[in-house]
Amino acid sequence: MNEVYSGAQERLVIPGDRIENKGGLSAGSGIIKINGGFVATQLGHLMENNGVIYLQASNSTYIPRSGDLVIGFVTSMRSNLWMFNIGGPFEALLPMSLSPWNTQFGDLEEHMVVGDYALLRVQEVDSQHGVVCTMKGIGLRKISTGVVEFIGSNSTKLFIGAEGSNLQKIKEKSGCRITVAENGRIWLEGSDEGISMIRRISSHFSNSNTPYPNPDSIKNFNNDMEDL
Amino acid sequence: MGGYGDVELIAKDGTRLDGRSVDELRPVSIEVGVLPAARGSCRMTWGLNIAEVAVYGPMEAHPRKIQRPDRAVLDVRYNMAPFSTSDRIRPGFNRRSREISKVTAEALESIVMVEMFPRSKIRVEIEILCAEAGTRCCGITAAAVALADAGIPMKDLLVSVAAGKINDVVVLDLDKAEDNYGQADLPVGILPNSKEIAFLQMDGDLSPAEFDLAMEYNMKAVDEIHKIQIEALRSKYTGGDN
Repeated sequence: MNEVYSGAQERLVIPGDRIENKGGLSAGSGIIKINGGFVATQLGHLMENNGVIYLQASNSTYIPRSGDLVIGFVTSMRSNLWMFNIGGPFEALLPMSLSPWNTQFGDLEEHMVVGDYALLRVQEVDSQHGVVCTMKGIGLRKISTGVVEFIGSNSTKLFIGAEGSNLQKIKEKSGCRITVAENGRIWLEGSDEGISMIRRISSHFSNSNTPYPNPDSIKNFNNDMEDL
Repeated sequence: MGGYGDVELIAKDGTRLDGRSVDELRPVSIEVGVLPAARGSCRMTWGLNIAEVAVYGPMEAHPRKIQRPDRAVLDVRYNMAPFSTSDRIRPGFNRRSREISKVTAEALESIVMVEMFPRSKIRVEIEILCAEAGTRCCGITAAAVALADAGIPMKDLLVSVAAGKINDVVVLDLDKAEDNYGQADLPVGILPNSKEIAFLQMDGDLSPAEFDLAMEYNMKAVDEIHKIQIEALRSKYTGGDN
């Protein structure tokens, strides 16, 4: 039988671990109730906030939520919508009515074709996990300059750092414009030298031997940040 | 099960041909995160068995006819590599691999929270690189670890282990000779925390008393293997500092 963890401890738990609930906490994401007790459903760290105990998964696929800023690429088109890969389990739709252009029915390829990247915002996620995106909003656009790198949705917090400290430092040193999307893709715009520098730093996550930030990649990333 | 009950598989002092006692497992080890391209992966060695498992997804289920509107589909493929045994195995699916793939998918469905990913697919690839006996147990146990590594929400891990009967004695974890010449084999898949049975198969005959003893051995082994699963997962995510 697994150990029983106090809810207040920030400890690594694995699926099936029972979590002790001493202080009348309620279950948040990654935690289910079985026979009145809390059980972890994913591998990750237990967190507690405002009476809610939840799990910060160490490795999880990106699950789109309404309001997320994402970078996607067109995988297919219909007469009135584009289908985007946003790195999640489900493809996202961009209806022509939510694009920034005055598009005519059947003329979508005038603006974006299969393979084109765009900065989008998730407008709606329905109960069947149907994802609708929008390109109407400040900063949302088709990506036609710079490069898009993948660092993984589990690494974005580390990449940004506390209150954006890491991101700010990388921006200053590289002189590049960086957009970090919640689906783990980053858009880099700037000089070749600056982009190369960012790619070297982000490679700790993108070329890691695991798809999640493991202790080695975190250590190497932190070392690089100190050396900047 | 060869059913040759007259082959001597247990010495007079009660030890088996490989020196194990009747309720002893072969050496088991698990390594997590061995395949960088996969979302979750693991390599498990169990005696001379070596299994590698890769998990991809959840992803959009294709072809669309396999999509379920209320849950994810577990697409499990169990395969023995051509070089996994001394007799070369013809590559591709066969009756046995189809059966084990189906059994594995149904066993894993009892732990994976498939209702969280409607219309999607979770791909589990189990490749047996070296086979001795008990490859389905090895594959299922490794698959549960790889799913946890992939961050797939699960109610519990899953441990699969087999007990059997040789020379009218109930033993745990049959090796190749015992599997070939033994009298019965009882592989089970058990949720280690709740002790629920996710799958159970039986080849050969066991009396009710022998069945109870075999299940007792299996339950004891589940706890042992579960500890190894936990240790492997923790060490990968904490760099061994736990």
